[in-house]
Amino acid sequence: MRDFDTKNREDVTMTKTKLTAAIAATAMLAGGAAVAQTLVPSPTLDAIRTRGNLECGVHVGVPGFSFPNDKGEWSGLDVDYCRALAAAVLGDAGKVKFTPTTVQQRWPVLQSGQVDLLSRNTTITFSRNATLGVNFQGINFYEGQTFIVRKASKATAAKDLDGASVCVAAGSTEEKNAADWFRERNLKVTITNFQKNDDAIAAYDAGRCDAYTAGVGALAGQRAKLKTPDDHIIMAEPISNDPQGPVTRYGDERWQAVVRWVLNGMIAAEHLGVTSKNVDDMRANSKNAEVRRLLGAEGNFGQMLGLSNDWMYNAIKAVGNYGESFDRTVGKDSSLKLERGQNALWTKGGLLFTPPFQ
Amino acid sequence: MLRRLFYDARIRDLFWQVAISASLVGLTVFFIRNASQNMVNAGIASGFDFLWRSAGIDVPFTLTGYTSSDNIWALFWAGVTNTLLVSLISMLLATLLGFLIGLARLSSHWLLSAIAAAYVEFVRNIPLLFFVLFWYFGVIAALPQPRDSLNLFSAVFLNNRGLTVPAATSGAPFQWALAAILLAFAAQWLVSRWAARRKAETGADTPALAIGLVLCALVPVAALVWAARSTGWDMPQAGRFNLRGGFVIIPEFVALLAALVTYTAGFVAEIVRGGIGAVAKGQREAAASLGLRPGQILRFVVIPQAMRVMIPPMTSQYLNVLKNSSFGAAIAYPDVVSLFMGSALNDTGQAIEIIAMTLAVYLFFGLIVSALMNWYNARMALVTR
Repeated sequence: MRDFDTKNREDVTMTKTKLTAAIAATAMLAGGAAVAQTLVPSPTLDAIRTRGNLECGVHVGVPGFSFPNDKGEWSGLDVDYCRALAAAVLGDAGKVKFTPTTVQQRWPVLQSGQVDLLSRNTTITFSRNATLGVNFQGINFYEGQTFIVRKASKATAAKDLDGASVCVAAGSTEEKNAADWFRERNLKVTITNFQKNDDAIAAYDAGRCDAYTAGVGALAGQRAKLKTPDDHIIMAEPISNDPQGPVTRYGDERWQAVVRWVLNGMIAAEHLGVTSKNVDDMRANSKNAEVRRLLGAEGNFGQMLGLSNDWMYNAIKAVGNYGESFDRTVGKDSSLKLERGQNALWTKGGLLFTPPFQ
Repeated sequence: MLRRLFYDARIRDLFWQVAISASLVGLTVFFIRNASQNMVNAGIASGFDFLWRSAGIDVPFTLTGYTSSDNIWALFWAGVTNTLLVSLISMLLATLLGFLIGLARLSSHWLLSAIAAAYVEFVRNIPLLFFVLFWYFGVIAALPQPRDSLNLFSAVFLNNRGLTVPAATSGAPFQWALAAILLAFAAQWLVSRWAARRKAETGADTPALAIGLVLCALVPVAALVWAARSTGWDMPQAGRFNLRGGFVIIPEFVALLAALVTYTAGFVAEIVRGGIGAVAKGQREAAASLGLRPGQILRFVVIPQAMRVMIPPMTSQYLNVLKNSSFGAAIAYPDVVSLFMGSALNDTGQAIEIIAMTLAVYLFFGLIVSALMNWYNARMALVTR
């Protein structure tokens, strides 16, 4: 009897869900008709709504970018972006499921559809874009590869590393960058490739290598994993430029546009002076047309992508603009204390740029 | 007619075999076509063209002369040779160590036997990964920094970056020396066969020891000394960070070798004990009653019979060593898994092709090991009359 009841209730719930979906679909169709635009289908967006959360592939652990605390709560610049995206799509920044991925796991996890996107210290490169079936949706961090060495070695720049042993994570852009860089300069450096970043760091710490190489930002966070962080120094001068940003798989262009424009929206918000604190005031009182469009006070930009019009309002309310997120996770209010540098807005001497919300 | 065909066991068997083979082949073809079609749809590159792309990955330890400007096919071979190198040396050393432990376990000396038993139980109940990591971090932690290297005649250096030995600037004299050594071994084999036949036919002894010493010790030493003197040497010298020059045997190799040898030896010891235990007690007693000494009993009566029991399980252990060498990926030993399935796979993203090729490597060399062991087994098998 009880079993029957449970089953029956489930059936009712199922029917309800179906009914809601049908109504939602009809409403969306009607809404589409109202803005005289029929949206191209987006299986990813539909799946996220049905599932009720966003599946975001993050790094297994780089402090400042994506790092779980002892309660399993994730924080970091890449994690913040996922939260903002969830707020924009689902209206709730908490509805994200983080899937930690290693250097090796990231592509199959994205390609096979286990995650909706990757947001994990991944460098944008030509061959990845061309052969892996993935698209890069903008840049949320301008990274540059450098080395961490022991202070006692007195090496201050990469060219001082002639004859050194370097530990690196296999399959990363750093592995190839380092090999290319030293070969080009005819410096003899032994590169030992570990399967995981953490193994490479552990081996460096154990004295197996004279240097460990990764991005400046990643190193700032990973330095904390060493036994005595103060005995080590991160070389200032980068040997490469490694722009990083969210990654989606080929297909579902509307979803790709959502991913791209939420990132643009966070950068635009900083440029326009919209913060998590003043976002309500800005939406109600701003005279700036771009601010009003961004926050859904004017036009229906959210609906054009199949989202609600307060998509960016939700994202900024929950996570803040790009600058707030940067300061909190890797910048001046964090333990990493990274300078904005290249990651400042183009108006402030940096490289961060966004196309207009028009 | 049809009825007769249906009831003919041979035809029925043939029908089912053909049907099952055809459906297996069909299923495989379907999977391959399905996968490649899906990959094309997802925009993922497929095919084997990536093998000719430049690898750009630095390998710290290679026997093939690979450099980072070579293509991925060369990287693959660098990985395969490293896998084979560590596997073959591990098989050899594990057999030797395992034999010693197995014999120790059978010893009538209580302490020796107890230690051997404890070793076997310890090894058999610990996962291999633990051995690998233990040896690796143990090796690194135990060895000094390059600045304080232990050295032998200022030519051989040991530190936490590996064992650095002088490297020959030219390999040709060593290839000649190797040829001479192999020739000497072949001669020794022929001589011993001839001596055994002569002993059987005429009962005359041959000065086997003297001939063996000349062929198996003097000739190799002379050949190596000649080769060493006719090439230049690249001597290791202290550099800013590490030693410069010379050939470096990396700690990852040493750690993986030590882990595979100590781990496998535990299993080999049990096989040896089982094999010797399987020889009937009467055999020893009969040999003893003929006046053979204990060493002779072991050598001429027990071990030849024990070998027959030991070879099949030893084959499994050798195959395990080959497969277990992939644990090197955990400690950055540049084997085929680490280089090809790790670095190259990540670089190109062509998972299906690369995993299939890696699989084929293990399958191919595994089958070769099996075939060799089966051949040896057939030779050693009891000739029934």
